[in-house]
Parts: sequence; C-alpha cells; structure tokens
Amino acid sequence: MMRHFFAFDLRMLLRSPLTWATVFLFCLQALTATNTVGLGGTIGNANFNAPLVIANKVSIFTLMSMFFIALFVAQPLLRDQELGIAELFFSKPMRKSDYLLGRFAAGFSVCLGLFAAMLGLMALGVHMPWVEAKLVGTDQVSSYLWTFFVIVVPNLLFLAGGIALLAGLTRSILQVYVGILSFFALWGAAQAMGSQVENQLLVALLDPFGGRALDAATRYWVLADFNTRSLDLSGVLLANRLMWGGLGLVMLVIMVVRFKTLRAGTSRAWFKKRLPQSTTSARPKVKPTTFASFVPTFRPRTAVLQFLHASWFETRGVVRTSAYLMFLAIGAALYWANLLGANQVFGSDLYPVTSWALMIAARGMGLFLIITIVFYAGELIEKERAAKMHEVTDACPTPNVLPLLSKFVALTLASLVNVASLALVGVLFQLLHGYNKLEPELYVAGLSMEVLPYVQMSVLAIAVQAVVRNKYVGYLVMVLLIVLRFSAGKLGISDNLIIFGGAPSIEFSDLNGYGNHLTPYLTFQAYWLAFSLLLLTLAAAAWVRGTPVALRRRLQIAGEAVRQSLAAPVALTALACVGLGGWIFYNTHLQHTFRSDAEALNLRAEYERLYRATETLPQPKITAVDVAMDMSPKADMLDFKVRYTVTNPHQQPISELHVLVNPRLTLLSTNFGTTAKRDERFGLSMVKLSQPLAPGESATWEFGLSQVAQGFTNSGSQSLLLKNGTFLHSSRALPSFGYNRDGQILDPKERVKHGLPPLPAMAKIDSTAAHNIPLNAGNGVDASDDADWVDFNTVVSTDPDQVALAPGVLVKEWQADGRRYFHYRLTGKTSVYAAWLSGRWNVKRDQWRDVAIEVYADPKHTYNVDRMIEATKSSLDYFSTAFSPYQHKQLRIVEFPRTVGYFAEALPGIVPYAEHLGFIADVRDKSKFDMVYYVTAHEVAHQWWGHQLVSANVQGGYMIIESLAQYSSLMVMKKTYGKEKMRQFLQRELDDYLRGRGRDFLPEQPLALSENQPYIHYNKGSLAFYRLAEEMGEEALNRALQKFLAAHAFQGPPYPTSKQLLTFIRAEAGPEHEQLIADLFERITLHENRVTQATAVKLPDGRYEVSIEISAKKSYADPKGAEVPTPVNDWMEIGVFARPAGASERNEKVLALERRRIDRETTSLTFTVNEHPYEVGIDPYNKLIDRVSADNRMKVSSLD
Amino acid sequence: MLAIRNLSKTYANGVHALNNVNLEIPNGMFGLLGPNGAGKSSLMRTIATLQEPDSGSIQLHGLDVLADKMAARRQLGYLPQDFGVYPKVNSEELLDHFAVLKGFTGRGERREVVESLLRQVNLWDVRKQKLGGFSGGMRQRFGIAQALLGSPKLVIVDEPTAGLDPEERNRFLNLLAEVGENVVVILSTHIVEDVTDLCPRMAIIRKGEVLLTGEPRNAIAELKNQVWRKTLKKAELAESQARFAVLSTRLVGGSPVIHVLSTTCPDVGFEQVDPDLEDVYFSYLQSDRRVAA
Repeated sequence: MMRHFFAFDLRMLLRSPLTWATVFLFCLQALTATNTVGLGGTIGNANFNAPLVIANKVSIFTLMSMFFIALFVAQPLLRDQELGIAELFFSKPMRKSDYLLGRFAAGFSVCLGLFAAMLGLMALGVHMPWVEAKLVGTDQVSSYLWTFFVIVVPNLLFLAGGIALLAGLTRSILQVYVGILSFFALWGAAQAMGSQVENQLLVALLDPFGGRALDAATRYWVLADFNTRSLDLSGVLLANRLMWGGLGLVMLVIMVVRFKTLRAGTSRAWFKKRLPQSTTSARPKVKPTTFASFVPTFRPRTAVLQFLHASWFETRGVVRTSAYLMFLAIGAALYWANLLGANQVFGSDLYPVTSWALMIAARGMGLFLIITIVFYAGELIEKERAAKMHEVTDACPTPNVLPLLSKFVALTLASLVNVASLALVGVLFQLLHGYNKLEPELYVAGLSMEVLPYVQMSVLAIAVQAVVRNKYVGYLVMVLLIVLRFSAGKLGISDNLIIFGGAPSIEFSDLNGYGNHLTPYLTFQAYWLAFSLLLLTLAAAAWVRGTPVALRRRLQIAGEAVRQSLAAPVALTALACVGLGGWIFYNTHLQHTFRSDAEALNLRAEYERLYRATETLPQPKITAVDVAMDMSPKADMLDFKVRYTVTNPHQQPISELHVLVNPRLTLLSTNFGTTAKRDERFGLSMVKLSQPLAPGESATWEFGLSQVAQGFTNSGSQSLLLKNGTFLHSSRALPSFGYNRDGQILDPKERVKHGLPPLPAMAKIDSTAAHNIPLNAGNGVDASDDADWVDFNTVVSTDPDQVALAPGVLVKEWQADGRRYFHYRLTGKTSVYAAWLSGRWNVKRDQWRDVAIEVYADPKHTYNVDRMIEATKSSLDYFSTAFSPYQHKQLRIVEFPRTVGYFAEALPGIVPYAEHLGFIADVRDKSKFDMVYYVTAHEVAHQWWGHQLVSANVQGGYMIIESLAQYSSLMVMKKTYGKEKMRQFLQRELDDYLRGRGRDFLPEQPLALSENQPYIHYNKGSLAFYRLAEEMGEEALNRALQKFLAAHAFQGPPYPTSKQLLTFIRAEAGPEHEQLIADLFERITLHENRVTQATAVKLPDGRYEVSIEISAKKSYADPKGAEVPTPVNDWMEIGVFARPAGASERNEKVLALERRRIDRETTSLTFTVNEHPYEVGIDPYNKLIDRVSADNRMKVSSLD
Repeated sequence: MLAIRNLSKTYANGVHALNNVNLEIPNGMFGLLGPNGAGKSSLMRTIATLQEPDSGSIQLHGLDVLADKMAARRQLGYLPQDFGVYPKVNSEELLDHFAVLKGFTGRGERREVVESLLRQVNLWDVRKQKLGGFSGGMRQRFGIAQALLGSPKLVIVDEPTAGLDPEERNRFLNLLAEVGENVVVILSTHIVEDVTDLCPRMAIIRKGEVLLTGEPRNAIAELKNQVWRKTLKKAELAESQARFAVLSTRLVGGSPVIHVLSTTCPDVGFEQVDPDLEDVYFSYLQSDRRVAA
C-alpha cells in the first residue's frame, strides 16, 4: 500500500512543471556556485573543490532548500485536503501511516535526488571554462559523498520532518510557509547571536544545518588542511548530525501519530471563541420592508476616495494577519539581538547613539522587509480570487488601476509599520541602556532613507504577481529576481542605472550627517521610484478583470489602456524616468568615467602592464613639504598649492618626472617643466623638466591642484571634502613621483586572472635595495620612496564656522576674506605622512609636561574625552621613560565621521580617530577591557614606532611598527589596570591569530617575516611580545627597545629591519632565551598542552596534596601549515586554583602558581595547597599558542 | 429593459459557450434555466462585464454595456455563483467595503446604506460576527445585500439557491421577489422550482443556445393534455424508456415514476397529469436532444 502511494505521488511530482522549474533553478545555482555567480566564494586561498568548501556551500544550499521541501513534502500531504478530496481517501480502508509515509517518501526522494544532482553539477562546475584551473584541486568523489551523507541527508531529514509536522498539525500550506519563514528568521537571529555566546560548543551543537559544527571542527585549520584534509565525522559534528537527523525522524513520527484523518476544523480549537449558537439560524423576526433606495453619486473625486478607502482596507488586511505580526515580532526581536550583539567593540560596550542604532537597523531589516513584501504581494494580489470574491469586486464601478494601486500602498504602509516598529525597539533599547537623548527626527529621516529601496521592491513584487497571476509562480519569479539583483555585482554588473533599485550606499554620521552623498542617493532613488511607478502603471494596464483572457488579447487590452486611459501616467512616469536617468547618465558616464568593478580591476592591471617598467626611472626625493590648502566644505571646493623641496639622490641627472595625483584632483599648474603626456585614467602626468636636476642638486617645485566639482558618480559623491569632519590624508592629496605600487592588484587569484606575474607580498628581508624604502605606519602596503624625512609646513583655510587642523604647532591663526586660516609647522624632521582636517568640534585641552593634549570631538560624543586624555598622558609617561622622549609639542586626537572608515591612525602629533571607534564606547563597566584606553595608547605608541623609527619596507617591517605598538599599549594597560585585564585581551588575540592563519591568502610567515598579515603582526605580535616580556623581564625588553631606538630613530635610508630589532633583543635577553626568541619570532610554533589527570588527597593537617599529570607537545609549522613535532623544552606556568561554589573563573583564587621548565611529553607534579582545590592547569592563562585552550585546565577529583 | 443581441462566444478549447444568443429582458424577475454547462454562467459573466463576447451586443436601458463598462457597472448588482467572502472580516465591515467600491464614498450615507441593507437581509443582529462563521444561507443573504448596493437597475444572481436548505431557500427567494419589481433581475438556475415560484418570464438555454424564451405559464399551457404519468416496476424501466418519449424518471417510494410526452394516452396504466415547468424544461431539452441525434 505504502509503495503504491509512494509511486503515485512520485509520478505526480515528476509531472509537475513547478518541480522542474525548481530543479532547473537550483541546478543552475549548483553549477555556477563555484565561482563568481551565485553563492560563490571560498575560504581564503582554499581550492574551490576543497572538501570543507563543498560541505559549507551545500550546508547553505540546504538552508535555501526549505522552500522547495515545502513544495515537495508539505504540498503532497495537504493536496487532498486542498482539493477537497481528502475524505475520499480517509474513508478507504487504508492505514494512515501508509498514506502519510508513502507521500512523505515520495517528496523526500525528490529532494534527495535534487541534491544528488546538485552535488554532481557542483563537481562539474569547477571544471567550467570560467573557473580558473589553478584554483581547483584534484577531484575527490569521496568528499562529495561525504557531504551528501553527512550534510545533506540529516539536514533534509530535519527540514522535511519539521515541515511535515507543521503541515500535518496545521493542515494549511500558508501556515507551513509562515512557519518556514519564522524558522528562517529565528535561525538568522541565532546566527547573529551565536558568535557572542561564550560556549561555542553549544552553538556548534545547536546549528541545525551543521555549519557551526563544521566551523568548530575546523576552527584552526590552515590552508594545507583545507585543500587536502578530508573531513571526519566525530565529536561535536557527529553529535550535531545525529541530533538533528534524529529530531527530523522524531518529528516525522509525531506527525504520523498526530495526523487527524478527520475533517479539518471539526476538532475543538484552542483559542477560538465558540460561535453563538442562536445566530446561525437567525430567523427573520420582522417581515423585511421594501428596500430603501440609495443611489451613489459619481463624481471625479469618487475614484480618489475609493482608492484611499481601498488602501486603508488592504493595509488593515495585511497588518492584522498573524503572519505579519509574527514577522514584525521576529524582526523586532532580531533587531534587539543585533543591538545587543553589536553593542561591543573589542569587548567594550557602546553608548547606543541613534546613528549607531540606525546602522544596525539598516543591516538587519532587509530580510524581513523582503519576506514581508514578497509574501504579501502574492497574498494581496490573489486575495479576492482566493476568497472567491473577485467577480463581485471586478464588477464594481471602480477604476482599473484601483486594485494594484491600493495593494501597493498597503504593501508600502506595511513596510513602514515594520520599520517604525524598529524605531520603537531602538528607542526602547536606548532608554533601557540609560541613553536618553532621544532623536526621533533621526529615526524618521534615517529609516525613510533606508526604506526607499523596499518601496521599489514592493512595486516589483506587485507587478510580478499581477502579471503572472499565480501566487507560487510569482514567488518563484520574485526569488529569482532578488537573487539576480543581489548577485549583480558578482555577475559583473555594478552600474546602478541598470540594477533595479540600485543606488550608492548612504550612511549617517553624527558629524557629517549624510553629507555630500545625500543628493546622489536621492537622485538614484527618485529615478528608480519613477521606473517602479511606470512598471506599476504598465502592470495595471495589463490587469484584466473577470475571466482570464488569452495572452494576445491581454496585450491588446494593455496596449489600449496605455494609449487611452493610462496615457497620462505612463507618459509622466516614463518622462520622469528618462529625465532622471539621463541626468544620472550625464553625471556618472559623461562627467565621470563609469567603471564596473571588473573594469576597475582591468584598469589596475593595465596600469601595471604599462608603467611597471618605469619603476626604475630615477625620481627625486622630497626633503620639504609646504602646502597652502584652501578647503570650502560648504561649497564643496578644494584648491591647494604644494611646494616641494626636492633633491636628486641618484648618480645621473633627472630630466623626466612622473607625477601622480589622485584622479579626483586636477593638476592645474607646475612651475618646473612642461607636461609631455598625460594619462588621465591614472592621474599621471609625465613632465619634461625645463631644467634637468643634476645629481645632488636641489630645487623647489610648485604644484597647483584643485578639485573640480563634477556632480556625482555611480558610487555617490567623489568629493574629498565632507560637510563636517573632513579628513584629507596626504596620500590622497599630495602628488607623488614615479611608479605607484599601491595601484597594483594584490589578490593572487585576481593576478592570475589578469595574467600578471605573481607579486611577492613584500620584499624579502634580505633584499638590500628595499631597505631604502620606508614603511610608514598605518598605510597598508605603501611603498612610496618619494621621501625619507621632511620639513613640514602648511597654511590651511576653511569655512568660518569650522576649524582646520594639520600636524604641527599652530604658529598663527587669523581670518581673512570670510575664511579662517591656520598656520601649522612641525618642528624637526618627520615622515611625509600628514592630513588636513576640518570640522566643527568640541575641543578639550590638557597638558602633559610641555606637550599640549587636545581632543576634538563631536559635541554629542564627549563621553570618553577624559579617558583619552588620561590614556595619552600615561602613554607619554611610559614611553618617554622607557623608550625615548616624545618628539612633538602637541598631541591631538580628532574625531572623523564613521563613514570614512573604522580605524584610528597615528600621524605626526595628531591622531584621527573614527566616530564609532572609541568616541561612543561605554567604558563605565570596570570589569571589561577598556578599548578606548587601548586604542589611544596604541596610536600614541606609533609616535615612536612609525614616526621616530621607520622600518624598511621588507618582510617583518610591520612587526617593528605594529607589534611594538601593540606591546607598548599592553604595557601601559597593564600598568593602569593590572595583569588580570590583559588576559581577556590576550585570549581574544590568540583566537584571532589562530583563525586568521586559516583564512589567509598568503602563506603564513613567522612573526619576524610578517608580510602585511594583520593576524600575525597584531594578534600574534601581542602574544609574542607579552610572553617575551614575562620571560626576559619587561625592563630588559624595554632596554633593548630603547637601544634600538637610539641606534635607528630618525634614521634611514637604509631603514632597520626586524633582524636588527632581534639583535638588540637577543643582546639583552641572553642565551638562555635563545630558543624562546627563535620560537616566537623566527618559527611558527604551536603548543599542545593539556592536563591528563588531576587528583587531590586531604592530608591529616587539613591541607591538600594535589597530583597532576600533564602532557605537553610542541611542533613547528611550515608556511603552508604542515606541522613537524619537536621536543618540548619551555618554561610554563602550572597552577592550582580554588573557586567558591558557583563562582566563575574570574573570581577564582590562586592556591599555587609556579613556573616550571617542561621538557618531556608527560610530566607528573605534586603540589601541597592550603585550601580545597577546584581546578589545576598547565599554562592556565593561555599565554602559549595552543589550539585547544580548554584542556589546559582540569577539575580536581578528590580521592577522599 | 435588457436587450441581448447575437451574442456569441467560443472558448479557446473550441467550446461554444454562447451561440448567437438573443434575449429581451424587461423589468422584473427573469429565470434563466439550463443544465450544468449550458452557458448560463458565461452569459451572466458577459452581462456583468467580466468577460468579452466574440460578437454581439448588450444594451441596458439603451446603454451599450460592452462599450461603456464603467457606466454599466454603476447600474449593476452581481451575485456570482460560488460567491465567497473574507472569513476574518465581519459582515458590516465587508459590506462597508463593497459600498465604497460601489461608489458610496461619503461616510454618513454609507453607514445608512449598510445598515438598511443588513436589516433588509436580516443580518443586522450578526453584523459583528466574522463571515467565516456564517452558514450557507446567511452568506447568500449577505451576497444579495452586496448585490443590491447602490440600487442597481440590473441584478444578476447566478445559481444562488444551490446548497441551501428549503427554509433558507424560501427566505432567499422572498428577498429576491421584493427586489424584482422595478429592475431587471436575472436569476440563473438549474432548479426549475426557483423559476416556477418567482419568474414571470424565463428562458431555457442549452449548449449556448436559447431554446425557449417567454412566460412560464404559456409554455406550460402548450403542453396541456400531453403529459402522462406511470408508476413502473424497476424491470420495466428500460423497455419503457425505449418505447416512449420519456420526459423524466424519478423514484417515488423506491418505484420509478415516468413522465411521458404524448398527444394520446401512450399505453395502459398511464394517467394524464397537469404539466408543470419541469415538464416544459425536459421537453425542450429532449426535443433538442432528438434533433441533435
């Protein structure tokens, strides 16, 4: 019997066109999943067909498959009831389980078959011509099979079981879809919160799709593992798979048991009111009188009033449904969770300022709006037909456009209600977190700005449903369109003129508002709104009342409507669309050259091909910089004159100068030669010097530069100025000479694609030529050798209501011609890095010895100004004592808008600092890590590491600049807050390092050879120097650094390398730390420490004897991650801890903590302690690099 | 007066839904009788502006319905076959909504209209009850209430009594009877008694063609003295059907009773009966069948 049901339903499914449409859609995704289209991407540098990459991708596919599982599993279970023939089946002498399981098996088989096909296509997909063969490993059938059985089967069992249960209990396909969407949303929320949870094991176990478990099982994998290692099914992954697959089966069984073969609705509902009995047979009590005659009068405004009423009626119809309220509630809950989750930066809380709350809202609201819009567009358009009421409404004297227009308004209002609820949640969150500066106007402005694209999407959804006239096909089309729209970038389409709803991104900042981006954003939005309304009008024209008609007739009717009744709106919207589109085209394509992302990359490749040869062209060195900078933020105008004093350090004369300026600027004039050739694409001018520069000769050259206001581009305003809070960095303003290595493509995969030779991430540490190029702090891979140390002088002017800042002492300030002028001069030589800032800030001044400390913050963001000053003072104190005196007379910290970036940067005596980084951090909770203090100290440390001492632009250069800044700030932190606070930070650094090494494009280098690999020179750098300081002593290490500075500060070329630094360290540390130094800096060392046994015996004197058995292993990894074991011989801490019942690790008491040299794989130790021991540990504070930190500690089992 | 001329419609699958239909329908109740699939609903939908004919014209008091659909809709009340409602909305709210769609945009006036109609159809007491909880009869009464919104000059009701119990059916027909004095009311049905009870004029249609149009009593008079009845044994049925022009066969107490059309007594055991509309209906359907055969 079951077999019969199975076969029958399988035939039904295989005959349905919807099945094949789904198969086609997903197979297409699978085939193209490999590369740029669809769910592309991989992990770091791993191959496209690495086992983990396949498993991860398929795990995501199963998540999306929920929607077709509903089609294949729930639909067959509910079909009979929908068609009203269920009773025909249930009155037959069959077993319920045969019926249900047969149908379930049919649907489930189709799902499994589809996934088998998808896996096959994925395997085929990596060999498609568009996939770079170098990034594809050897095919391994086993990894596809593994994925099928370990990922697909349990996931599908869980999903299909859940969906079948939902279908069986609710007996409504609508409820099933609502359930799926709710689950999807909850899963999204759990994903967002998952990373905040401390117990990652639990998180891994609780992900129904196994993604988190895969993550946990491969948490610290490196490249070599990804490409070669096959996944094994054990531990948390096995538990996860068994749990969720098993849950699926359990749900299926429950469904079969609980499925009622009675008619739906005959059982007592839980909450439904019983109907009043008397009314069902309401008898006429009075003989009806004759009908009163009311005749409506039709006026021109009747249609408008009808439209308003219908809009209201439809809106109420949407917002009162339980599904809508559920989406709303889940969206609000998710927003709350996101607010909680994002409310932390480096472990510090944030003040929930409105601009931040809006940013979080914008990040998460899309999903819910899209779900609501897509779902309700179908519901609304098919509402009358589903209720069998369409013939009545169609025969009413209403305009043809009424249904679509009113339904569009309803959908838009539903979106607005959705968004408004987010505003309420945001306000509530702010109030509960003690932030009571309510800014409703910001919510209104910000959320209206964000909701615009969804208004357009509402139109699209309505139009699609109105044209298709089949709810489910409409959904499918919408999903397809949305997927296409969001993969436009990956498909190489980035022109916002042709991506539906495309617009430059816009973000709000308390300092700058929406700034110069507002106008372009609104222009694009207006253009797409016009387009949408045109679409809506056309859909309304093709809207046929009553009985459906053939396509040809429908087009005829639409054509007539467009020519007659709808001529005006069609013409109007089309005109607006063309007009705005033309204006945008003029701006983005004629005023500016439009380049897609791919074209931009091509251009960079071309730059390298054309000009790489000029790398060796002798160019002068700059020895003094003098800039007259005129900024007009309000008028958005920028004019400046740069005067360089240059000298020729080469053996031959220089007769040709290659001047590069930011392509957003125009080089108006030079006073030293004639421009022989220009290449506007790169901002390159080749200047023939009027007088060649002889070897050793100096000259003063002037450059006139200007930013010509030119409307906007595809990505919004291109202006270098902001309305408030301009941060114009010298690298974006000043002309540079010769070949610009910054312009090169760095991504090895992209280089392969463009046929460029491999580029070493950095010059080898021994390439002496590169020792002459300085590496400058905080500037990425900047390899400019235009200057070594320069004199810096600038006069900067700005609008009268703003203050202009630049590095150096303020020599003079004055007003002239309605502008404010500031003259800054840096005393002494400095690196060429500078910035000009202009804005309206609140200034707080303080003093440390003879150094002026000034903090420029937005008037709303003055929370941490005192903290910054304090951190600056203690940093200056520590560094000037431990290393060398501070070289400037001032230290300014300046807030810049968050839209510029999320970083702080040390420039000579001035630290631009991002709005959301530090300025809105809430550091009142003393138990948490003080992020503001840390960042400030780090940037102050760069005044030494980066500005006193510049390293050579070779491997390990960043260790000198960044690792030493990390070390310096950690020492200041330790001094202020004590050792205990460091642990939280170091644990995060350890985790970031271990994860970073698995996700790197480049081979991992030892710390001393780090090649712009942040996880090495920041995260590992902190760990290495912190451990070194503990082993050799902070003072000894500082002595080494002091000597290093004394030898190399303000010096170069050649600039020092990490080799020189290590020489100084070795000299102070002595031979007993030789192995440690080599392990930390010159090798990739991994420890594997754990406690294998911990027992305690109570002694007669009341004390405890604790016996510990530990295992310690060590290995060295090569750059690809292959590990070679090596004998362990290290100093490690061994500890015994007590803990009050129920207390956490933070409150533990140290009973014993000793440093021991561990030189064997297993060691047994005995301690005698005074109190009842709770836990023991080897390296209990995780100072060593150990992938599994948890097993470093073990609870003590008592023997008594 | 509703005048339908030369109305034809052929569906894409080749079915002639309407085949040169000509009807003159004066004010008052007009019954449209026909078996399932006769084209009644196609005709109704066409008159209700929901479907376009291939050819022909429809005039309502001189108004060209097909050319000026908006004007026609303003004078139209339509209760389609298989009429549904939003189950989660109450009757007052939904009728209010329909009232707006019918052109009552003034709030005060609309409230009066809705109240008056709900009282007429005796749903005023349950106006706050969700429509999902309505019985079939209540829903049909709600249906007629919405069809009467705006005092239409043409009311079309398509198979309104199907599925109603006798009491509800009576109540519904009473309601209709009150309406049908000054306006054109077309009642499409396959239940002969509906027409007998209510309609001064009628038409019989089959396969898209009008077989008869006129007053029921004239049609009945034409069959006077021609309808014969006999109670048979089950075994005799097949033979009788072959021998006589059987109009209808029905079971009375388990025995077949046949009506036969004949100018003379067809056989022993037949008794003459007064013809009714059902006999007329079957006689037309059968004559057609014979012609077709």
